[in-house]
Amino acid sequence: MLTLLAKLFHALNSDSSIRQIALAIALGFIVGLSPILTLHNIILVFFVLIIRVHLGSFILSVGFFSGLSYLLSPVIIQVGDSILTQPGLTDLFTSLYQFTLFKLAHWHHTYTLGAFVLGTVLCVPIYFVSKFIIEKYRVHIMTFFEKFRIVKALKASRFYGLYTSFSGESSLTKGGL
Amino acid sequence: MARFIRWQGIVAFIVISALVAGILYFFAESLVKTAIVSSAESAFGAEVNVAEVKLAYSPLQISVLNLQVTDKETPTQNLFSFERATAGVDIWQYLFGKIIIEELEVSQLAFSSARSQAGKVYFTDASNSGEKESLSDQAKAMLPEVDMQLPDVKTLLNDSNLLTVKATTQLQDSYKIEQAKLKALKTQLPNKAKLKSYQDKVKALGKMKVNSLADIEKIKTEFDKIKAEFKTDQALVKKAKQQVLESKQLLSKQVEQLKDAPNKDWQQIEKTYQLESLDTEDFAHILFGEQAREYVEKAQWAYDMISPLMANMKDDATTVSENKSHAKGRFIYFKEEAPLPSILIKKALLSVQLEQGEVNIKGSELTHQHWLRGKDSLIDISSIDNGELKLNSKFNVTQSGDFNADGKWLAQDRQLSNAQLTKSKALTLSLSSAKLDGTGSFKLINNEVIAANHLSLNQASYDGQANSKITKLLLETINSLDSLTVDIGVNGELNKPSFTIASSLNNALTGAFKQQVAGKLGDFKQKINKGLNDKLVNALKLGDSQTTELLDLEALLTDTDKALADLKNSDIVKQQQKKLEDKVKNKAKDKLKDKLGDLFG
Repeated sequence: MLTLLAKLFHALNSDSSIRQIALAIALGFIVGLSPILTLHNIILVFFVLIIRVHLGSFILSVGFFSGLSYLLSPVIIQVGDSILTQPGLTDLFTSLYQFTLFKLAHWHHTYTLGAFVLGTVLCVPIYFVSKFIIEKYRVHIMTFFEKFRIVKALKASRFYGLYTSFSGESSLTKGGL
Repeated sequence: MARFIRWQGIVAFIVISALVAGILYFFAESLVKTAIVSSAESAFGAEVNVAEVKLAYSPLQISVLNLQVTDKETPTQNLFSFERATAGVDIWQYLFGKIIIEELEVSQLAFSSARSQAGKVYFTDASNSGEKESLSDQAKAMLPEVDMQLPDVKTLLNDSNLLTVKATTQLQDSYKIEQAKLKALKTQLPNKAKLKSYQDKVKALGKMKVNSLADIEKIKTEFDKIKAEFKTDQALVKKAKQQVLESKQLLSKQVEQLKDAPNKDWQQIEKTYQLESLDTEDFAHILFGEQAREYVEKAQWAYDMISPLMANMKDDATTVSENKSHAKGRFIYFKEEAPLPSILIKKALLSVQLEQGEVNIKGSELTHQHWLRGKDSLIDISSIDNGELKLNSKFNVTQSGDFNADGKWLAQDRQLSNAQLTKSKALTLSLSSAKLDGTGSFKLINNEVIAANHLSLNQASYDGQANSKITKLLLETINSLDSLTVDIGVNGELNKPSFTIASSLNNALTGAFKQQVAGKLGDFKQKINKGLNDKLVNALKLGDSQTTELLDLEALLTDTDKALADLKNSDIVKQQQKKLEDKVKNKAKDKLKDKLGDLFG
């Protein structure tokens, strides 16, 4: 069972080029900003899993941006509210509202739409900023993370042993995060 | 393609989805239970207990078992509790962000039931912490006043604010002042001796021998001298007369005021101690107002509970916005072909356990957005455990946020027992047993209430204690009644309504009660009036002596004035002149006679 899981993780985590990591962070930003169980997040998670992006970075990004989303919630709600109540967009939203999918996606909710719009708009600059930072500081960041006890404990675990036996060397040593 | 796609991801997605679905499936009930408890605790501010939550998925049905909400005012009691509540939720609409309950069934709903152990209180309302006098407290407070309304006669009569007392003091003071003024004038007035000396002087002038005009001139000069003295005295007399007149006017005015004072005092006493309002209507208020006010307070409580849900429901022409509570953000609803409210209970059945028996409540179309489906919410309450009780009501909230409700109720053959009507120091009264029939209707527009209720109590027996004459009489009278009717009208704002209470008790009390109250009042009035009149008589006695004194003085002044006028108008100079003329004439006559005698010899 552990072997199977390790194989799966290796397959998901082996894509650790700078672009793949930056894309994972950008997508993690969209998912993290929105409430977790929304239709667009489920689709995004599916998308993240099947395209070659660095999953570890994605999970970390979701965790980080979920926390940020909590702090930014008034701004997110404000954005969603102003879009949904914009008189010029009423006709558009009224026609979209007739679609079940629109309602199922909760895009008529101020928080969900605000987070989705902000996420989509800002994911592009976040992709490039992430790419720039990783290019410049990946070695320093890697060393910084390896100092943590939890990372050391993980590396000492049996699961990590199996994982490295499939990957040859850890994604971290390869330069992944 | 393989450069971008990793097909293993599909497996991972399936695994993760299955994992999430599995967790939700196995932990859904505890998650829902936790959500219900935490949201109810934050809403009610006290401990909420739920024994179990059960979920059925096809169709989605939530059952909450043994819910207890602690009453934060009395933590040993529940605000409400129920044995089981089952709600069939439209899952599809739930996913769209709407709560549409096809049927809600609540069994064994009870209010103020005892808790096995005191619940925790998380926060109390700041508004309730202030000692706000409830409507029923206000009704209770009316009774002690009735006994306090008859004050002590002695104390009352010694009250320096009484007009009678004031007028008496004023009259006494005025008398003293006027007396001093007159006394001062009296000393300046010519006395009898002086008048006599004037008369003697004038008499002496009259007796003087006149032989020549020079003598007449001398008399005239002397008389003018005396007249000058008269004039000064006459002026003094005139001044004194004026003063007497002013004193008389002032004192008679004050006497009149004094005479009116007892009447005015009594009117003031009646007004101050509300003796005029001491009628039977107040007792109908005291006895039945408390109960009526309690029912209105319950209605107000219910309105206060639901009104926040009705607030901010205003809508504009293009969007149907709504404030479904969400921790973050809100749903904005747009026009659709068959719009549904954000919260709707299509059918509700509640069985409530009350002291008076089991009551069934049926509700339909319960929502706060009635304009969307164009249907009113209906609430029907019925009970057949004890006689018959029916209430049919409907309510709606308009798109502009106005709340309208109306309804009718009917009670027949309901057996009442041990219902406390009032409890205060002066009177404790409870209805031991009675049969109740009644009808009523109510209308509520926003928080303006209009209600008319007619109640009829038959085969009634009462139990109570009275500690004052009035309340004893009231108790006796009400005990002698086998049946009575009460009409209660409620109008105005729900938080400060005005009550009109009419009762056949009034008629029953009219004879016995009014007579005795009138007797007591009459006795009181007699004592007060006697006291006031005594004060008046004493003051008037003083007034009489003052008047006599003034009259004596006035007579004296008139006499003096007359005497002086007589002296002044005396023709003593003329008389002496005439005397001289006669003398001269006689002399001439004698001379002529002598000459003629010589001639005719």
